[in-house]
Amino acid sequence: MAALVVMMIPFASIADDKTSYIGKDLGKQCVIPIADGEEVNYEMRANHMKHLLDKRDKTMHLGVRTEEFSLKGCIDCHATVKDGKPVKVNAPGEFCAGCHKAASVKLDCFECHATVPSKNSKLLQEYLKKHSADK
Amino acid sequence: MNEKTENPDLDRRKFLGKALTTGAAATVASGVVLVNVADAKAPEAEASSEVRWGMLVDTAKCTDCGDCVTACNDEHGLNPAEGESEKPLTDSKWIRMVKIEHKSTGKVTSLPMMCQHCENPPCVDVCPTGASFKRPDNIVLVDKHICIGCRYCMMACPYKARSFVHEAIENQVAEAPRGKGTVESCTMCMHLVDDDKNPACVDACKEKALTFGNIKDKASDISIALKNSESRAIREDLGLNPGVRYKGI
Repeated sequence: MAALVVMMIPFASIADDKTSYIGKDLGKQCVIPIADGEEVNYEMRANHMKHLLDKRDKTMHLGVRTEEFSLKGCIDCHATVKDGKPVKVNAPGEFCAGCHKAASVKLDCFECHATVPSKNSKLLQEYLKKHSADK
Repeated sequence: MNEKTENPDLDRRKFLGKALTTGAAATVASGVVLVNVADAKAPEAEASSEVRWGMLVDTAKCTDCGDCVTACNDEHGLNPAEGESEKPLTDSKWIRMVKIEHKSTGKVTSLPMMCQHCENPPCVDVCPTGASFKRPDNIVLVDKHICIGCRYCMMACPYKARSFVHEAIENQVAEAPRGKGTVESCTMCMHLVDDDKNPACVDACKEKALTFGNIKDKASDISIALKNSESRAIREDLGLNPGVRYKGI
């Protein structure tokens, strides 16, 4: 049911269609690419929590630290940058909060987890290097 | 999840699986070692019970400078070092300096105290939800997704190694998620250890008083140091077999 609700959200209300986040700007692809002929990543939109929960247990209990489906990896890619500083993904209109607000689903990952890319994030460093000439 | 990790060494299925794979590895080519636990851990590799992470603290070298405490606080985005904090009584302390005095001689020794990563951790025994657990490589952790904040583990720990987060936190470090209503403690810097680095406190110690390594690997620095010198676990009488041991106490 939740998946159905998420899929029914009109495209215009989704943050990722309006903002250019780090990964989009650098031309990176999602760990699950958009299916052929579709404009929106329905798989991730509907099932991102399933993937995140699977990975979470493997990382927490067994120390598996691949980038795939790690929440940290998601944030490294999907955060936007304003004035040389990353914006929190749970700030109004940002990647996570934009969609969760529209779908009216509570977002509680960020009571504990960091909301901006790690200072060691390679993607963030790449992005800042690319845009250092902009100013 | 708990069935798998609660007692990694005694899990029958895993033992059988391992026995089979070990057998297979040995028969591929005689004389060729296919699995070497001392090698770098690949990101996709699971923590192995062939490894037991441990630490040896040489109290004779410790100058009570507190660099290890500062490094830990910085690494995990904890509260500022003691003295600068507004709420020193409730701030989380993953590592702290303690002074111990010998009752009859009066000799005072200072040493860093943190989660001792016991082989038989009382915190895991008492946890009602399975949030307190031991990784296969014997790093003792709190799964904050499952922790209900009852603090039984804090009562059970003879080392007072765990802290409770009383208030909402912002601006956490990406490598160390922390949140209100959960218990936390030293993670042996598992995010660094999984990346083949030393824990932050070990690298921060200018006197090289802390030695970190795999105590199941007989050739590791820590195993050699443990073999060649006298060391003790604190509260050895409890039979917890901690992974952190101390020299000179």
